[in-house]
Amino acid sequence: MDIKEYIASGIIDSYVLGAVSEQERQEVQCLSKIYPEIREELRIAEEAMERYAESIAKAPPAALRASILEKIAATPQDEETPIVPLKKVEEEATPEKDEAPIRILPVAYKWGAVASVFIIVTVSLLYFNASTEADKLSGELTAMKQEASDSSKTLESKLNELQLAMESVQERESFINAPSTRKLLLEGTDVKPDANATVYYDADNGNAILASSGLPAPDTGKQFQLWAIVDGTPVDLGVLDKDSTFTPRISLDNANIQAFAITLEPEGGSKVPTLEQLYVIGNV
Amino acid sequence: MSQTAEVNKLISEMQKGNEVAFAQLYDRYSPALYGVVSKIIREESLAQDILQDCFVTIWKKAQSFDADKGSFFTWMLNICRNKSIDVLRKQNRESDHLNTMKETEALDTKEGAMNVNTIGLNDVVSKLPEEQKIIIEYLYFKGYTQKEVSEELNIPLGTVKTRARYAIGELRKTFTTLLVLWILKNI
Repeated sequence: MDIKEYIASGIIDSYVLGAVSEQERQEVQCLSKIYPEIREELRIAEEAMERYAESIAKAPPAALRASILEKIAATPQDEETPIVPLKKVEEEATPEKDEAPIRILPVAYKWGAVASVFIIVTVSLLYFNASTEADKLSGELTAMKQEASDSSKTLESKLNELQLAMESVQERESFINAPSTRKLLLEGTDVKPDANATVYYDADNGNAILASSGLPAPDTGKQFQLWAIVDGTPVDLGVLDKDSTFTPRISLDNANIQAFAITLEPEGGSKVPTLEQLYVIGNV
Repeated sequence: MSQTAEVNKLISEMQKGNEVAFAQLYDRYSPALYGVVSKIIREESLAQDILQDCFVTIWKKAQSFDADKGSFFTWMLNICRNKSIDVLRKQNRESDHLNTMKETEALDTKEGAMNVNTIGLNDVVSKLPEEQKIIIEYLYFKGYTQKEVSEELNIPLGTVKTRARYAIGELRKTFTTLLVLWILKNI
């Protein structure tokens, strides 16, 4: 039992104020015998009430003192009932034993023995059943606790994932919406006139993000690759992940970029762009 | 604290039927006990009757006092408080059928107003926060059960207990402060 909680509930204080039920009264008395913390708390609370009573003390009239002393002189004190010693019972029982016919005793003992064995067996079985049941329940409880803790772990990791995802979306949003970021539209070529893509480019710090939602799904074994055209030469900016619409932020060392372009290349990308497969291009 | 041994001796003497010891215990404790009784029972002559009745009980039951179960002062305090509350409840029951209407009105008007005449001005309880003051007043001096207080003040039962705890805690603090002040003054 949680002693601190018990004390904090205020039941001891209510007890001291004489405001508890008979059951609670016995409970406090009993617990104060078992737990020293409760006994101490009770003592302190009672002491507070004693100090309080002293603080509101009021001398009763002298005549009352005389009258009370007179009264008690005529009143006998209640004697505490002495506890009957166990020995006495034995003494009474002994002569009966002697009088009883000896022949019958062994039979009675036999039956007694049979009854004892029966009782022991029954109680053992009951105990065994009860403890098996208890084991089972405690096993179930452990399993439930495990389950609860597992699902709470799963939830926690999901929550973490979501949080990370949200942070990256927020970061992207703030990059895209920053005043120094320009939005460049890459338009479709003859290969696929309706294809398009958008590059968000900040020339001041050389950062870029590509939004590729306007591109068709690449054929199997193929992957789109992003290029920057610098002084007429294509510079590899990496392949696009098929599953995500946005690339992570790309850092560009060279600020002298003339255009961005996307080609379809064998999976993994190429060293130089396959110009026949140029899907979209846009000037800076 | 050095009084304890002396008091213990008086108690065990009284338990043996020593009337002189009883008289000394009376002199030591009767003002505090009378203070409590007369806070519960306003009517002076009735309060005196109750005090007498209490001391007769203390005398008669002296042998049943067990120091292991608590202090002698608390034991006497409980006898006095319980007897007074019994009388108060009986009084209330008798006047109940006459005054039901009036009392309900009085309770409805204001608890604060009621406390002004029941708690003396020098009483430390009167310095407690209002809600704790009311708890002590109702539970200890009016003998309400926690349930009755909870219904009367329209607060949950658990709150009654917690407030009782705070109230006793405040009392404890007050007396610690008083003790410190006393020590400072007497050094």
